Amino acid sequence: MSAAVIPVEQIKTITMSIYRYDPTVDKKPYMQDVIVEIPTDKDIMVLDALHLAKEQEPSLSYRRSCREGVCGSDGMNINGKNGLACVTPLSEVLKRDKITLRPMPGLPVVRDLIVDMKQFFDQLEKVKPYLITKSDAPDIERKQTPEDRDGLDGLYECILCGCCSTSCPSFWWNPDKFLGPAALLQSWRFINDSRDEATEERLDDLEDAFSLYRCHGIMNCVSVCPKGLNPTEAISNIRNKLLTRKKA
Amino acid sequence: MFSKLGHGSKEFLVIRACAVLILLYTLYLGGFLILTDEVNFNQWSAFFGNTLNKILTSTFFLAFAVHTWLGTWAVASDYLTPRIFGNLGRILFLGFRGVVAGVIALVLTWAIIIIW
Repeated sequence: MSAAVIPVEQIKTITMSIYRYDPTVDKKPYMQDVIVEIPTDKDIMVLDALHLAKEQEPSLSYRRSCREGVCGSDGMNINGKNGLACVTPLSEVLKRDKITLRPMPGLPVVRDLIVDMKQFFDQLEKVKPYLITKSDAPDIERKQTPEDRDGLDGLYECILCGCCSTSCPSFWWNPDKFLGPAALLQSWRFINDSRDEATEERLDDLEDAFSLYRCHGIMNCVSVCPKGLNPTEAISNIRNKLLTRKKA
Repeated sequence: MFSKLGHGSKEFLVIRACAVLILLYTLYLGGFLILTDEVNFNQWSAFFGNTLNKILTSTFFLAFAVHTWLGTWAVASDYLTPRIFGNLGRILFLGFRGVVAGVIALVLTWAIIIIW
């Protein structure tokens, strides 16, 4: 998509204000304006515009892989709101031909738009995001009724991009104690799985004052999720389960 | 049932139960103010002279104290932490908790003395 091959009448100039920080060179982060020529005959994605910016600034760093909203690599803060660059149409976020890109907030910046996701994945690991079974394995597979399977809709689709957790103030303030919306959505995904046999243990792990209960229902997670999922509802479901379960 | 809940669940329920009590008392007091033609000293004195109203008002202040104590703990443990302020965070947290405890004790004591 080189600007050189596009007819002049189909080109528009936009300003991309991009967060830059290379800890090996820069003492502190700064915003850099990159002027980019984009085609007007089609709507490109923010990621496409970033590729154009990188042609001018080869040192510009960001993660990307599938470029179709599946891998969850290119989560970033677009005009103040987290989202995936690859599935965000530029036309939706351009304001007066300008767009501002920053790394996802709340996590340490590795370089430019790349953040260190360790804390995010540490919290995910705590909820044991895999099926736990105690009974003997059946000959072929652990079956579910179609109704039970329906209970996983809206949960299994999470791609772990981190947009939700890094937009959550509770996660910003206590990223080591509050599990965050992404991990809690996964927690509910397995608590609500009819094949899982560790529900009580999973709930016990969430009984403290921080892991789950630090959610204040701000709902930034719902607002930014690029897959349209609802972590707040998942958290609410876990809370209801905690409050109504009959403990031995 | 309640005793078997974990710390987080207990706190969640208590803070909301207190909020409901505060709301109910506010509506009750609001109802008195609206339904009374002229609120003068005699009416006011008679209202708070009633034993039931004394108990309700005391319950309100108790709920207010618990709600404030738990609520401000949540706020302080978000913002006044070593993660944000380094070692000063612990001092700020404890100092803030001390001030809140003092204010709550003062308000509660004062209220009980006035009511009873």
